Order: sequence, then structure tokens, then C-alpha cells
Amino acid sequence: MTWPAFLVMGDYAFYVWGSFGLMLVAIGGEVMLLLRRRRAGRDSRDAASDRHSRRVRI
Amino acid sequence: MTRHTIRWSKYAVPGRLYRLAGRLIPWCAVAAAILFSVGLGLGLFVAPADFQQGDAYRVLFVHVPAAWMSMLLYLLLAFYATVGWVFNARVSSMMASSLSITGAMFTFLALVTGALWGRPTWGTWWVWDARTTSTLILLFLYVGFISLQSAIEDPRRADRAGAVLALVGVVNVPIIYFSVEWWSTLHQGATIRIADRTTMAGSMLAPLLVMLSACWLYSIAVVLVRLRCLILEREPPGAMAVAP
Repeated sequence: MTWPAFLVMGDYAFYVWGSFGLMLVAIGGEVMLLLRRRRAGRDSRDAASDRHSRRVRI
Repeated sequence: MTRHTIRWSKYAVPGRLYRLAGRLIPWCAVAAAILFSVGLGLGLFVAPADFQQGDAYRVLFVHVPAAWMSMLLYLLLAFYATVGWVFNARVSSMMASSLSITGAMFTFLALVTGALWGRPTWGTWWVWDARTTSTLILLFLYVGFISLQSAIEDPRRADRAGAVLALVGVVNVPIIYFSVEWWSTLHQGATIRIADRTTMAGSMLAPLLVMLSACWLYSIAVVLVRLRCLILEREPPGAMAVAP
């Protein structure tokens, strides 16, 4: 099979590549949002534990 | 003879579960990435075109695992939400919350890829048949669960309200699964059976099962990352310092 024939997917390119592309976008999007949330959580956690240890010292 | 048993109850302590999740995530993420690559390779390059549907059937390598994951994750969500509600186990409720977004994502993916498969094979993007309609209801249940949890400020009350909705909605899962047998729908019956002979060629079944395994491992990884985020957000700073 040639590359152009593979990309055309027997005239179903939109449906096949659309499905696989959508899956990649969905998974990539979820991972990206999750990593951002994790970073924000860690930052606020660090700030909270700083406040906590300062209060304990006082 | 001594029997070694795992005391699962010790993982009800958020700090311990946080560390266990941290150890499991990299393994699951790497395994999921490998299996996704293998599944995509097998599904796109190795599996032959179907004699009736041509290459359009390759959409099923995304659609079927997404549809299975949407149902399985909802069952897990309902289980954890109920355990959290009945036993007042906050880690269990956090697990239910973590499952909801990934479950909603897979349900959305199943619906859209179903439409992308339906157009070339059925000649229509959408039909209000039993399976597609009940899967749409599943998406609404996920969205309802997520909305309810974000609308209520007190996390414990939000968990209880979410558990009630999850428990009521669990009745929809057998409806989705058995809809093709109970009603006359456009969807074909099950081609992969545990008790009976599978009616799918091995070269097509292999990528489907590899993609399903990849989706499972991916789900475990992202759910555990989200669980760790929730533990960080909800638990007081001192709660993380527990004995290993």
C-alpha cells in the first residue's frame, strides 16, 4: 500500500482520522489540564505549609 | 503456614494512598503510552480492511474501547461514591470524583466516534436508538455528577449528593449493555463474548484489545493523578505526614 492510499483510507479518511485525531486531542487535553491543576495544587500547598509552619513557630 | 494479606484499609489514609498513587502513576503512564503506540500500529497498519465496511471500521478501534471505558468507569464511580457515602470514607469519595471527568471524556469520545462510524455505515450521524440514547443519558449523568460536586461548596455534602445521583444512575449501565438484545436497534449484537466464541477475526481483535488495555492503563494513571490533586486540595497540610 502506498502512503497516499493509506492516508485516503479507502475514501473514509475524514471518519478514520477524525476519530483517531479526536482521541489524541481528548487525551492530550485531559493530560495538559491535569498537569496544570497539579502544578497549581502544589503551589498552593507549598504556600499553605509555609503559613502553617510560620504559625507553629509563633 | 503464614498467609500474607494486604490490609487495604490502610490505604484509606490519604497520605499513604497519595504515596502509593505516586509510585503507580509512572508505570501505568509508560505502559499506556507503549500500548497506545502498539494498538495504533496494529489498528492502522496491520489489521486488514473489512470486506463490507472497508477502512471505515477502523473507527471502532477508538469507539469500542471508549464505549467500554465509559460504562466501566461509571460502575467504578458508583461503587466508590457509595462506599464513601455508606462508610463515610473520604478517600473513596475523592476516588469517585477523580473518575468522573475521565469517564465523561470517554463517553463523549464514544458518542462522537459513534457518529463518525455511523455516517459511512448507517448513512446517518445520529439515530435515537436505545444504545445511543442511553449512552447520551450516561454522558448527562457524568455531567450532572461533576456539576453537582462543583455547585456544592462543602465537599462532604457534595460527595453525598453525588453518591445519590451516581447510585440512581447506575441502572443505566445494564440498559446500555443489554439494549441491543432487549430492543431492535441499528447497533449489531455483541461480537466479543467471554462465554461464547468471538465472531471477530484475530487480526482485528488484537488491536481492539490492545487499545482497550491502553485505555485502562491511561485511565488508572490520570485518575490517580487527579486523586493526588484532590488529596492536596482537600486535606490539611499536616495530614500528609503519616508513617509509611
